Amino acid sequence: MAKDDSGFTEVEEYSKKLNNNPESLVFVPLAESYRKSGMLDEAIETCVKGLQLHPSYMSARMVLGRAYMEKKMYEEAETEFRKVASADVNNIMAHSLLGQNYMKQAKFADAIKEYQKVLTLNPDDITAQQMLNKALELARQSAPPKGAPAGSSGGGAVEQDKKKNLSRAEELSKQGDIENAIRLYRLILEADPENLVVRQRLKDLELRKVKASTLPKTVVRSKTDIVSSFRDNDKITSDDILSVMKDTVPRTSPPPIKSVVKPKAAATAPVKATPVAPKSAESKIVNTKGSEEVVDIDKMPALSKLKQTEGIVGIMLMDIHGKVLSSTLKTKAGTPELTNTVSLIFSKTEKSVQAMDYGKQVNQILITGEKGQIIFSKIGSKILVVMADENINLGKMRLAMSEVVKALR
Amino acid sequence: MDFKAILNEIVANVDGAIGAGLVGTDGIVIEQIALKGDFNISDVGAEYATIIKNAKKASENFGLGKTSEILISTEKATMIMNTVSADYFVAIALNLEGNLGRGRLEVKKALPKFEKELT
Repeated sequence: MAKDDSGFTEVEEYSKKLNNNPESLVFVPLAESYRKSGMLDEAIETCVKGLQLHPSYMSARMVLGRAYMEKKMYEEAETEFRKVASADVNNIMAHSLLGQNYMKQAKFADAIKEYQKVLTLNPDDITAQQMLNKALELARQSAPPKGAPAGSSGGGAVEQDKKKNLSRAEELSKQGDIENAIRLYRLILEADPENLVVRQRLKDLELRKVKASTLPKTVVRSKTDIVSSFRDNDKITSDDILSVMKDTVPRTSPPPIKSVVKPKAAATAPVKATPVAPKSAESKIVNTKGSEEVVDIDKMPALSKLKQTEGIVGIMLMDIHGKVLSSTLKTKAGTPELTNTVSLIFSKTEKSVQAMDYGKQVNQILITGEKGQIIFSKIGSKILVVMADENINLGKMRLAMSEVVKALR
Repeated sequence: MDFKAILNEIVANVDGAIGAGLVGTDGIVIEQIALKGDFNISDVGAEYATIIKNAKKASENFGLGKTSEILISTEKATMIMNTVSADYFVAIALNLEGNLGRGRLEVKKALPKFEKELT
């Protein structure tokens, strides 16, 4: 049993608090500390007791479920995670843990469903994407061999049609024919309304359509498109979904279809969209060559003033697709890596914020680290990145930034 | 002083605070206070954790080192998140009229109390 000193310190501290006030909710961090220290029986006992007093405390059920899972008590774990997922269908963690729990029991079809739910709620969840890939692969491997009882020929034909439509929809999507791809995905969804991945694809395409209609025509292939295309290599294709559903539900499945498995390298490659950054062009103002819209920081008074504000160590102006319009940032990472980081943090944070119902768009993100601060501000289709040292007066910085915002608008 | 009391103190001292919570970096909420019915960190603890995770990554890429505070503003709300330790962070959400400066200050003031309770 793995127990470390820090775990014991925490355990002692929380135990003391719980003894002083047995009705306190401190039983959750106590149980969590037990679990992290490998004291699974104690974690379970603490949670069970605590839940008798606070039965609707879902965080406690999550800790309890995890302890059960680590103790290989998968049914009990499932019961707890299910309770959380029933209380809140959008609880990503509950679905993710259910997926893990099913994987441990080799119930791959169930695991796939849970990971699909996770990805519907958060399409950027790289871990869920990787786990879904793994579940699909394992489901495929454990599927009945050729010649195993298949569904009726009618069912097989329906399945083939579905496969054909999905392939066609993907093809259309890749060709940029979003309109027809959406139409086709809607048809597929009508026939299979439970298909979460198709639902997600449709949502993505509809979002792409809205974005495309608001973008200037000159943008042909933006950095985010490139990033998306890198990611697409790791996303699940319709063939994957169909083949696995077919394989895991042999009653209604046609015989295995050839060439439905995407190249293994693409399926298992780590999701890393960040291009390798050139280490040059860092210290001076960098204007994107060939860009139709370049901003010279020194020629724009508000930007120039912002650059000169005490404590500011660099600024970068980019469009929402990652194209740098101007930059004075000096960092170890290269410009492409930084713009990629900015685009990703905005898109991921926006998704989280939308999931929390705190708004549709993120206007500003401030990150304070031990060596300084960075502010990302979205101004229309541009993002202003301002990096400052740790002593900056945030008020002054925001004031200088507001002038830039006015000027850019 | 328990977690709830510390969180209560934060939201009571910040105009426009909607709620606050102590959350694990794995998304599990330890404690929360809601001043508005629809504010429920328990439901969205994982999203807060995702934001923290992404911000940490961005902080590393920009060479800022260890992340201590993250502030997100949207058209509906502002969220302030401060790391308490490697495993926990405290989050407070404010409405648009909320006093952001006060929010940051109160969270910073409360950090040692959380640290003390958690260690």
